Amino acid sequence: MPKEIKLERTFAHPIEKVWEAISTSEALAAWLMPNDFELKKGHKFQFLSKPQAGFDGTVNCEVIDFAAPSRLQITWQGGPMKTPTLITFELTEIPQGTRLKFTQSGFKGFVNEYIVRFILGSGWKKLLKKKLYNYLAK
Amino acid sequence: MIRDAFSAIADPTRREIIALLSPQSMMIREIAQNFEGISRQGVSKQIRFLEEAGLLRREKKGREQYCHIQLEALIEVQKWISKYERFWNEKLDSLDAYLDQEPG
Repeated sequence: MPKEIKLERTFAHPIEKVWEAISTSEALAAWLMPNDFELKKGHKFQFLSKPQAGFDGTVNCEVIDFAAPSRLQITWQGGPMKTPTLITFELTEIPQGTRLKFTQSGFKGFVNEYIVRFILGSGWKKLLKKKLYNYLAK
Repeated sequence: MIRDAFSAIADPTRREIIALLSPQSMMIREIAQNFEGISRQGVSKQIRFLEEAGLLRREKKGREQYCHIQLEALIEVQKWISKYERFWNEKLDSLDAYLDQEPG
């Protein structure tokens, strides 16, 4: 069970340009999703996309911390998540341009939530219904 | 008595064991320490029940026995997390393309 997602990319662009791409509403809308992001600690915002199966298309976020031009941390709570995950963008200057380290962590709360829901909620009820139905059909 | 997932989660002690083991695998004696009112033997019995129901797997490491949870739900969650990983990989590709096309 992976506890977090870790991705790394290198961009042939200066750090200031990459920073702008991850810390302005307009740029985020261009490569990620439409949003009402503001670079302010504690700012609550949303990403909006087309609803899909099991996902209403809204992601609730909050700016936790940032240090221009190298670090941005936001919460990310979307789809079936009842507890938010934490996303960190870390930028480092390298000779070829900029290295981005992306991390999404905090799935543990979600995993536990999912199991509790499975046990106490529909998964378990469905199982019970099916069992009962099979039993009655005999 | 039929030992399946259905009967396994019907008991509160077994549900608690599942909850305990969901974030990490544990040794049997570690699990037993979490239950004050129940003897170690009693906890072992519930663990055996979960094992027979296919919800738990035991692994011998030296002298210790580790218990791992095996829930269908975990597979679903895993699928969901890898879906997210694919999502971010695609989005970072878009970021790359965005940076290449932007002047400055």
